[in-house]
Amino acid sequence: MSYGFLSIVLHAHLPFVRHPEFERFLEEEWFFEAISETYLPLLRVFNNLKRDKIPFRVTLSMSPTLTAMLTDELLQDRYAKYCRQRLDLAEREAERTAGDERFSPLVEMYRRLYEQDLDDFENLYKRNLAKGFRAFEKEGFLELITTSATHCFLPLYREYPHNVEMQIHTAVIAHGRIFGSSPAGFWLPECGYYPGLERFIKINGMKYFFTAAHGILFADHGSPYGVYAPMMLPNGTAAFGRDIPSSRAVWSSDVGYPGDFSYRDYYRDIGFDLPLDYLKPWLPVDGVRVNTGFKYYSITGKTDEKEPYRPQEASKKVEEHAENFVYSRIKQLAKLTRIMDTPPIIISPYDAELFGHWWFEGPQWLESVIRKVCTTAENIILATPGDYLSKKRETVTGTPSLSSWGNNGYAEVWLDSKNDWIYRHVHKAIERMGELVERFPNETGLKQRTLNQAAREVLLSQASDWPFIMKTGTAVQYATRRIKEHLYNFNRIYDGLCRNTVSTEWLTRLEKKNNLFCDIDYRLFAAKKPAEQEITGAR
Amino acid sequence: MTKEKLQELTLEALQELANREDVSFTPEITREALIELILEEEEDDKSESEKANSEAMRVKERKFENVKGEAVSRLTEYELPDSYNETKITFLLRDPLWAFAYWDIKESHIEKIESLGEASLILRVYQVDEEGKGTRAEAQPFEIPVKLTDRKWYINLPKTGLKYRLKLILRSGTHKEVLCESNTVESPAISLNPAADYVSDEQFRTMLAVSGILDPDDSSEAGGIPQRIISLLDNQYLQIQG
Repeated sequence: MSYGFLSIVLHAHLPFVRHPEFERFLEEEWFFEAISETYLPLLRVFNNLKRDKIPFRVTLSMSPTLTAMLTDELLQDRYAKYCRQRLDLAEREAERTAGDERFSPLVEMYRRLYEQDLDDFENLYKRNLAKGFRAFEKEGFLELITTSATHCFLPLYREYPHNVEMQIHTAVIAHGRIFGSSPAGFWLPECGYYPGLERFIKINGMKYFFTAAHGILFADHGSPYGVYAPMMLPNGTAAFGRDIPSSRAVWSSDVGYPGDFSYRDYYRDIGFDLPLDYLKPWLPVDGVRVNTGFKYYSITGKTDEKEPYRPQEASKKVEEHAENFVYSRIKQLAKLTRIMDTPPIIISPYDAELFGHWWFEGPQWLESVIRKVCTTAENIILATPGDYLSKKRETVTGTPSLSSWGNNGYAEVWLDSKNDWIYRHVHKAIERMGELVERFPNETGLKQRTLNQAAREVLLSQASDWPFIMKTGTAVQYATRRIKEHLYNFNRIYDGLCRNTVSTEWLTRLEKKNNLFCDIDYRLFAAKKPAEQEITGAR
Repeated sequence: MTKEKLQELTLEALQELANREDVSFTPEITREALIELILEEEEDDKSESEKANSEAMRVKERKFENVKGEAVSRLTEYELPDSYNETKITFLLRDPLWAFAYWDIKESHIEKIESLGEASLILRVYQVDEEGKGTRAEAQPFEIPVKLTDRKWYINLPKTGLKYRLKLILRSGTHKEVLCESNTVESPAISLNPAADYVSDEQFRTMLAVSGILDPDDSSEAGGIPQRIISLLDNQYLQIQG
């Protein structure tokens, strides 16, 4: 019997946003929203499947900045508070909508959701969701992988190989500390690949990574399998290419499932509909409207006149869309098995936060897809890239092309007139960090702490999220100030070490604030300086 | 900026902001009307920018969008140095046909240039061979004049699949001096290898059809496959030359 594999890959990531210096902070809510709307709902999906003895296999990439936040006590406290505030809002909303049969059932739906979130968070996971995901890995349901330490878009750091290695090594160490396991694979941030990057993936013990479809299709050697079998690189790592049809079915808001008119509308939130005075207790910044998570309308159509959301209708669509997705993948695999002499694998990678946060019904759809594949569909097997590679199969050797999944397939999102100013400063910080390692190769005590914090600040300045935000225009001022702050912190240490004047009090405060990567080793920043560039002489 | 934050600004501050954002308004305009115009402009800009974004990027944007408009950040804004007092140029590849260069010039070089009076700066873009050593004899370098105050430039590369390097050159009369030379960037080839060694053309075409890239019944599309792959990823066509 011919068969093939479907590999669902979820990439969970948020930049490190933690502000103990403020009591409430607007941008921390990105993380709280993701816990409530994505991470806890995903854990519930996995629990439901496990309870029903569905033998699922899913790959989950968890970024080191996200796991640092998930395991941080301050943010855990703040999330619990956020959840309780949502429950207060639900109570208030229940009073406001009492007797309105269009909206009061929706208020009740949200009340139950936040109640369950808080209960799961406090009692089931004892506040540590990373442990929850780890349990599913231990039981054989998840393959947990990592990505670069601060989600740096690596092709723009190609000239600094020691920095790329630092990003990857630090991520693997953090992954091991939090999950107690070694990641089998690596999620390239934004699928940003350049030839040669595989060296650092291999020396850090990982077997595979993912690229955009054109990374494989434009590779130096054509593969008869297209993106439906991994490309083995000369150094033995495997590159899995993203499948275009299954990505579009889910990603696209126009032709994809999430745009169905029955689904909940993401944009229509009471935070923008109700009077500011009413909302005041639930706003992180006085006078600034924010998403509250309470959204009562369906997409309805291309109109501002939205219909109230009807969860039962949306559930019916979820089933239809899951059915359609599985049917389309089976048809795709049937065609592939006729022309391939090795079992095909369809790689369907998605940002985890698509599910639940943006596409409210996404977790329900995912659960339904997994159930259908595991229990009713023939000829299609759910597998991780690690599962696929565990058996000897026909492969093709080649090196993928430079690529990313950003606009037009390369670096234009992260290198644009709105964000290009950052690179001269971040690159300089990397060079200076290399100088510090040369000057202080074997420090201990306070100086070692100082150098380790300098290394953290350099890594934090490289998050791809900041140039992304500058390009897309959502929280530009915050993103700009974050990069400047990390570079300022680094430069202050650099200058201070030159003069031997780093303030211990300031350093301690900084360590407490940017407290991720507790086992970072600054020595790994040992630079082989980029080729000497300055030359002189007449031409 | 959010409506609430705009409402906190004075009419003068709003007018300044409107000028910065190229919003046209009459001198008699009221505060409220000006706020509406600024918000409309910001919404238009955002919608234009969103249209240009790939699907993956549009979804990612939602992660950072808990307010509508630009929120004012409470973080301190630190200043970064204008220059690191070194003469150095760095070349970064943006896509197969565009690269970005940024450079810095140390004070002593600036003083020297200024003392020369008629001096100017040029960027010379040239191809390098596989080893990245020397220029290819057949490849003509091209030059871009830049101002002494410029510190960055986007460069349209003539062909994909080649390696390029830059020199920042000081020109004074007939005298030319290379101030610094960049790293090498390698533009990727945008071509689909049909894997002829492994399978028949027909099988490969079937593979592309399953990938959602090619209509199996339309052989006329073959020449545009690379563009089609990119457009499927992004709803846009990459203009490929060469």
